[in-house]
Amino acid sequence: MTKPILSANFAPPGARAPVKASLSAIRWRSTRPMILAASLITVIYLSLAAIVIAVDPHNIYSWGAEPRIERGDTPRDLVIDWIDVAAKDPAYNTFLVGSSVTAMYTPEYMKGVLGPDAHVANLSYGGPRPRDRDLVLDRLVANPTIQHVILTFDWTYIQDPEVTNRSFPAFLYDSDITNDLRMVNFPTIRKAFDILGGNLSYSNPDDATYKTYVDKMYEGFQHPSEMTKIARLVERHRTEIGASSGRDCASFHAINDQLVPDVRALSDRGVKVDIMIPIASYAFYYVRRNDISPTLLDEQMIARRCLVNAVGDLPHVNIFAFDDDPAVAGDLANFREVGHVYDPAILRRFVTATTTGTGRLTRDNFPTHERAIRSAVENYRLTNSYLGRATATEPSENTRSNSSTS
Amino acid sequence: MIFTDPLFLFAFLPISLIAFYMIAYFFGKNYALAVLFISSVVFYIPYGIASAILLILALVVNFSVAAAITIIGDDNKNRRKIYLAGQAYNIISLCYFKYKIITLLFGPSAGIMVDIAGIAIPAGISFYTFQGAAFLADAYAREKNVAQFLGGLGSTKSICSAFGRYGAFVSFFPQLIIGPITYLSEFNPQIQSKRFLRLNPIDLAVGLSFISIGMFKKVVIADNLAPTVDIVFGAAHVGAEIHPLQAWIGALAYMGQLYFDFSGYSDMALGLARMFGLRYPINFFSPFKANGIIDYYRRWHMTLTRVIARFLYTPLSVAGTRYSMFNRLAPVPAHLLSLWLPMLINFQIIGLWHGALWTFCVFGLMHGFWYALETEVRATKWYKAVKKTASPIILGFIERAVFFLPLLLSLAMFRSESVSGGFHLFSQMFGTAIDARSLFNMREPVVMLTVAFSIIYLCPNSVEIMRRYRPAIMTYENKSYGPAFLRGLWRPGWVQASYISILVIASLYYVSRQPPFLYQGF
Repeated sequence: MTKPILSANFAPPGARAPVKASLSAIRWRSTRPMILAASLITVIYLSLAAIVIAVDPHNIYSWGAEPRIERGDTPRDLVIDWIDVAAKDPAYNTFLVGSSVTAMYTPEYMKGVLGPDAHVANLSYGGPRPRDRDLVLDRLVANPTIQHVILTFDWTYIQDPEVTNRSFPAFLYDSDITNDLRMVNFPTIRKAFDILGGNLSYSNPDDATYKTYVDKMYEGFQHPSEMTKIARLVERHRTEIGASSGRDCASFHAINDQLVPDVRALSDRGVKVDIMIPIASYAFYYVRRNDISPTLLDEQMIARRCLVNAVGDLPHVNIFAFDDDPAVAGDLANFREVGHVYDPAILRRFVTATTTGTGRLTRDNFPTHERAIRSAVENYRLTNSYLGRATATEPSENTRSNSSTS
Repeated sequence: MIFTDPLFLFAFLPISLIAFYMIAYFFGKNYALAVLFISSVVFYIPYGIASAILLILALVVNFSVAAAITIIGDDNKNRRKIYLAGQAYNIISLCYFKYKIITLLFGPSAGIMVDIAGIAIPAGISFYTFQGAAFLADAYAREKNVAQFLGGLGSTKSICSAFGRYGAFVSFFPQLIIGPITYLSEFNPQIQSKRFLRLNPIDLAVGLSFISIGMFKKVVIADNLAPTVDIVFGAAHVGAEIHPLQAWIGALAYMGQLYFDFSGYSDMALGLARMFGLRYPINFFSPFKANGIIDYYRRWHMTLTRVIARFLYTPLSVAGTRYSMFNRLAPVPAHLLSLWLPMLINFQIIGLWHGALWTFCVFGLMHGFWYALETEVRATKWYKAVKKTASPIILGFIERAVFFLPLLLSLAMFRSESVSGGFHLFSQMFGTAIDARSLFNMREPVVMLTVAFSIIYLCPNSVEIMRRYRPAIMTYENKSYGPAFLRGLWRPGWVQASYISILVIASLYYVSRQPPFLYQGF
């Protein structure tokens, strides 16, 4: 059966306006999903951004919640977002500003070493670079209740001052407010809603995970094939390891323009500043010359000398180093990677130095320290007491022993 | 601001759009274009007040010169002088602020002249200077669009209106920082059209799709390739031993990063312009699918290629040919003067346009020689005979295979932090350091590379997907390759809406760690 033809279905001759109107209507109808989706995303995003900015879970503004980090302990992957949460918390008077080499120190551990009056927040994160380290130190300098800062001084200070850790959210800590919207990500939104739900404290759930990671790293490193590779590198680069870089103190802008002003500012306020030079193995200079700098050893030594000359005599400032001891830096059994100490006894000795004063570098003893390191590195023969070997000869699986580390 | 910044996407863009269409509805075209101009200046201010002042100064100088040479008659000798003064301003400001020529010539102790140049390189200076220079050349040649665009300049109001239009043309934010470098003949007919200023939902939908695709390319693909690139090129710079496989992965990762970074930007630029009812020239058309360097430059940064060809290569080549003819040079020197020399200069300028670095210089030399050589080979009887007899599919495959390696190596040199670092990377790629210490965990980069190169070689580009809606002005005609079944056509609907939502949400997941566009530094 066919439908009857209705005259109403026909437009009168010459009538173009309804056709135009319907074309426009078709366009709007067809694009409605697209425009709706975009509008919805925009509205949701802006709403979430408004909530995050109002709640301020990173504590970067003068308003919003004032979240606390439980026991000063931060998950290692989130510490870079929570610098201000710790730095603005009056409950903490001691801050550890380090890198992956100090990430394992828990606040309880530090308290055990430094004494009961030390309320410690560990702001160590992996792969710090001069610019982000400077932003962190700036936050601490602005903290009026701070009494003690422990910071590590590693090879990254030989880099240009503008070098930044790719993961570091500099937008949270710079003076430009137009980029703050970038903080609206899933962890931040979740934290904002946690705070709205009444949970104002941040806790650290990753200690066990981190320990497993470190232990696995140690097991992976303590392997004959790894030692063979390192021994080969040592022999290959022995003649050039002590080569001069041609640099002088004026060329270390990250030290002169970023670190020294902050240390001076803290010293002037009577804040105790302990600068710890992390213990790198002697093999570190041979292995990492490959990807850091061919004159790594020379640059490291000059950088240390410049640091000692610049701030070593300031009141309340101490600089510590332990890598002139071959039993520590020469034995790869102590390390989970050429630049990362694993041995708990050495790790404890490292932080205990801030109370005992051992291993302190001064203008007077620095030449001896420098000579010792240069000589030890240039004459280094691979040693690993864990694998039961003391020469750079080809190791074998059979030589592996279960002896404890030094 | 950068396009992938949430502040730009969720605040600046909606506000600009609403203001533009509202003002257009109530006050008309000139005011709407003034809104575009003002919003573009606001967009640019975060790059620095000094840079913004320099932009305004460039606009004022170029507009004044263009207005003067449009009003002055051809018989007036001053017309040429004014034109040359305007172009001199463009060249000098580029050399001074971008290449820091005073510092190069006189060292860092040349006093205040160095101090002024010491400001950071103004963002987009290469792009807006080239666009301004092209506009001046059009004005001098009395291109018909210029007179129509400037209109009568008899009163203060008309001069202000013309300046607003000119400001919108040169500084329109979708193309201000990284192009495309647009000719007035592409912009003016659109703003003269009756359809301009009418809010067309298709424009919004096409624009949104381009923006979401572009953002995904940049934030999800390019930025996730970047860490591998930084590690490998950093290691190459200090002369590190690199495992050959990792050296190749690093070089390939940079290829992918540069591709998706620039492609992502180009898509976003087209989409943003389209939301304001404007079509811009296409700047990027699947360049890695090219069958040689000649084809490559018809697909990569196409608007720069055509500007350089128009203002540099063609005049040089014509001058070389004339010189050879007048002096009856032998075929070889004549050929060198009319093809090789102009070509080498052309590519040297393209290389140095990216910045005053030796790596760009070597990159320019590599591409100059390669382009000239390919031109010669394609002109030989042998090649023509092969082309006639061989299967186009096989020939195309071979040409692309031959094209890939030199492109990879030249882009690796382009990215290298020094020329020695570039050559060191080459030595590691073809070296035997299989016992070198691993620089990175391979799994993620290899997955990212597989995804990236699958998209590059198998998928149609955004312009092809959106071709039903004429998304861009075609700068060059290019062939499309890739499996036919993947060449679907986009049309607005729920499926596509879900699609772009996924792309945007995936991008927003990564956006909090995003670095700026690579081409922003050029």
